[in-house]
Amino acid sequence: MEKKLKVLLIEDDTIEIMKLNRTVSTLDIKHDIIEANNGEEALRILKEEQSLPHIILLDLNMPKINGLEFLGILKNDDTLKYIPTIILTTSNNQKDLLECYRIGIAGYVLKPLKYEDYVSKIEKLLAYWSINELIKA
Amino acid sequence: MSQEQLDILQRALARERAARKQAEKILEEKSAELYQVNKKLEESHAELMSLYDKTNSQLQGVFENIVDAYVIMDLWGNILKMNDAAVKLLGFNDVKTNSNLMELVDPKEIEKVATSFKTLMEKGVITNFKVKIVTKTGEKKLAHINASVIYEKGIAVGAQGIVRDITVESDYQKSIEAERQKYMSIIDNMNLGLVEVNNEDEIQFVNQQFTEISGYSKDELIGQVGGQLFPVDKDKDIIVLENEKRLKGKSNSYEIEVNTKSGEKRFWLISGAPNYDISGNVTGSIGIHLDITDAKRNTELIQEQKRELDVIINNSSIGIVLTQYGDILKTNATFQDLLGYSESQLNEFSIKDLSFEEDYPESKYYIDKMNLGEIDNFTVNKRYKKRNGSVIWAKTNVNAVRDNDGNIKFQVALIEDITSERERTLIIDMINNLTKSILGKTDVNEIAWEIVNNIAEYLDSEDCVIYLVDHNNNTLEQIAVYGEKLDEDNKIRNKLTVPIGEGIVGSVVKSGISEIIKNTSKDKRYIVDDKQRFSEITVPIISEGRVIGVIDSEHKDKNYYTKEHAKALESVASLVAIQLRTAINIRERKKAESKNEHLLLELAKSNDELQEYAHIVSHDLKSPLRSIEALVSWIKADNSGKFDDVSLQNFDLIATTLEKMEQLISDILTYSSIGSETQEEQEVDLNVLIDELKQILYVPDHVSINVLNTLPTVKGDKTKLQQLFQNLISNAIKFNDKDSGVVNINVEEKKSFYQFSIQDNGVGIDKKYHDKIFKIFHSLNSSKESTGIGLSIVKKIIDLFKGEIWIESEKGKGTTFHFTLKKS
Repeated sequence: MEKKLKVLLIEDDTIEIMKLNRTVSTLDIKHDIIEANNGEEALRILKEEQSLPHIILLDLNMPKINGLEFLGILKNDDTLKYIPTIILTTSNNQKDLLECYRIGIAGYVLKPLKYEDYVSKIEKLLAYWSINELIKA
Repeated sequence: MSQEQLDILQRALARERAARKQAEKILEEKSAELYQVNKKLEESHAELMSLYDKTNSQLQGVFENIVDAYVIMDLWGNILKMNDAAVKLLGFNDVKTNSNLMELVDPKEIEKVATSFKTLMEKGVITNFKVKIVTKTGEKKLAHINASVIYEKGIAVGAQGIVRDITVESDYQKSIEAERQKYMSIIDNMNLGLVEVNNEDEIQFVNQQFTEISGYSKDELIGQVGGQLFPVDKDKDIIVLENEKRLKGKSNSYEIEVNTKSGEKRFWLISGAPNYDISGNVTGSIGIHLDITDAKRNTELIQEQKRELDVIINNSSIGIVLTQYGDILKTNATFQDLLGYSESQLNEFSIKDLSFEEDYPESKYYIDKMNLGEIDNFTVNKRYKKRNGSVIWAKTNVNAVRDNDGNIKFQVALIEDITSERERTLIIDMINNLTKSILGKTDVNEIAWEIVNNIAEYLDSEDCVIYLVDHNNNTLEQIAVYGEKLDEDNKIRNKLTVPIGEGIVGSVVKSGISEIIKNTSKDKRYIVDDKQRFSEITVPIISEGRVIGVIDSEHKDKNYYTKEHAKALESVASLVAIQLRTAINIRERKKAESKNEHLLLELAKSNDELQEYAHIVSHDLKSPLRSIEALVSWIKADNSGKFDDVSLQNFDLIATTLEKMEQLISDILTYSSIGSETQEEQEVDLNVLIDELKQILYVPDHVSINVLNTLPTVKGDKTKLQQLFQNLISNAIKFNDKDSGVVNINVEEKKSFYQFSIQDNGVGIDKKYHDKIFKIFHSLNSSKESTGIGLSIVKKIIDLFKGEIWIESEKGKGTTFHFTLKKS
């Protein structure tokens, strides 16, 4: 059964956040979206929140702690490392891709130019993870 | 024998017989009386004794006064009586001594005495009898005896004699004889010819030597007139004159030329003295003759030799100096020329005045030894000051001339100018040393240090600097120094940089010609470096016609450097030029290499940064595009049905523009990523690759893609190979305006590479653009599908594969791209 996901979106671009929220709002299952504008905020949220998110959507290009750094911190944390983290980025840089997989990610999704393509990708992504068995905190 | 004689003899014989008969008769008569006679004899002996005693006393008075020794002996030699003189002569103690005279005779003379005794008995007397005796005291004496027999009644009873000691007298005679013999021997053997003449100049006596020098025998000479026989005509007057002087009692000495018997002309030195008789009258003269011909010739020879020697000395190529206690007494022309002084000027000098203080110790060492008598000569190489202030090096051989006591009277110095020889040796040594020391050195500074050290030593200078020309800045830079310019840490003090053309070194760089400055204070170009010095020599180091450096040396004295120095330094310059050039090149290459290395690192870094930057930029650029896209689509969605067709069309245009924008960004990113992304190389089958491309690419129906040949499998980055073919094929498709488009892919295998061609029958490219099309952002068409980066990407990939790409095209007819890929 498809379940409602608690998604931590780490994204500094307001429009990107709007895009995800708008996309999620059109879906049957209203997933919980927790927003963090950067890595630091995300870490704070992760420490403060009663329950951990099911999945993390992570943008790579961010100010302060960038995506890769954040990923490194996450994967070094004994608890947080189990949270599937999906990279949502514009960068098709081979180096970034390899580096992300090396540290450990659950997916790597390129942001398409067209919004309709974006919606399609996010729908599939969330659908996929909502049918997955996830570690309950 | 005549009858008369016979008669005489017979008569004598008869007398004899008669006498004998009578004697026998007497003998018979007397024989009987013999006993009585004997008895009587004994009696008479006693009587005689008494008689003697009487007589003795009588005789005592007679002989007392005889000075000579007087002895009476009996017929057997027993001394009966003698006087005091006899006692003394014969060595007895007193007159009473009983002794036999025969005991005193030298045993060798016994025979002689016996004979004389017989004579005495027969004749009754002997006179002038000489006999050697040995006195009682053992003295050997020669005795002269006159003796007579003493008769008593007609019968000999003894003998008396006077004895004189003639030992001394006889020795005197002998010695006179010996002296005479000696003098005769001297006269005969002396080296001088001796002639005795009478007052008529007639030769009375000549000695052996005179016969030898004159050639005449004694017999030929005696009686001859010397003054006529010998002198040559012109000298005869001299003899006459000198003879006259001698007659007046004067001794004289003179030289004449004479003819000997053989007619040979000789020179005699004659010393004459008058000869006197006992009463003091001049009886002639004695002349001593010395043949001085040889001596005279020797003197002439010596004179001649002296002249010759003077000529030799004066023309000798070696300078000769006679000194006493260091002061110059005499010099030859060579030495005068050598130093440029006249003889009289030199005579005012001592050797020290002409020498250098630095050379004193060595000379002194030897002179001390010479003064101690340990050595008689020595040789040193030392310098002399010339009148014009310059210096020569000379090999100086000093010889001691000693007096009989071994003290040094003079010193003769032979002085040979070895300046140029020494120069050559020094140059050869210096060049040898330098060659050895710079062998294999490739460091400019090291080479330069060796040069300055060797040259300073050779020039005996306190300063030497190597400058290197900096052609970029048009300056000269000091790279090695010798002397005071060097600090304690072997670093150059106050490193000087001289603009080319300035100073003496700067102008030598410009001219490329060596310079010797005799007096820097008179040269306006002179630049004082660490201190003012008066001489300077500057020689360019030229390589391949370009002055690359300068060797420069200064000396405190004026007029120090010579043309030889310049030549030597030029030799050094040409010797080191190539090596220095090489070293400079190596240095520059090293500089460039390290710079390149640095640049490469920088480049790699900035490439990486650029790469990162490209990604960030592309993200940052793409994000707004995405946002615009999202916003536009939301506006459209949120206002569905509210826009008219034109607005909707414009929304589409916005979308298309955004797409193109995004494509552009992607292409730039691709282009900048080529070469930086290190994909692993793999075997890529190009046939497969083309098949895949056909799937991916949008190929319109009217265009056909044909592979004309089986394509090879190449090694490389698959993505890039794909980009390469994709770009070329898509271009061929894109720019095809024909109803039936054709894209032909072909390959030709060459030795080390494959040559591909992609041919189309499209629009073609004007020839004037052939060069430009591979440049980034150069799009010939403003087609919406073209960003103008595609061919740039192609070119970049081919460069990566070390291949080439070129184009064959005709506008309107189509284009063929040829490119090569190297077989790995």
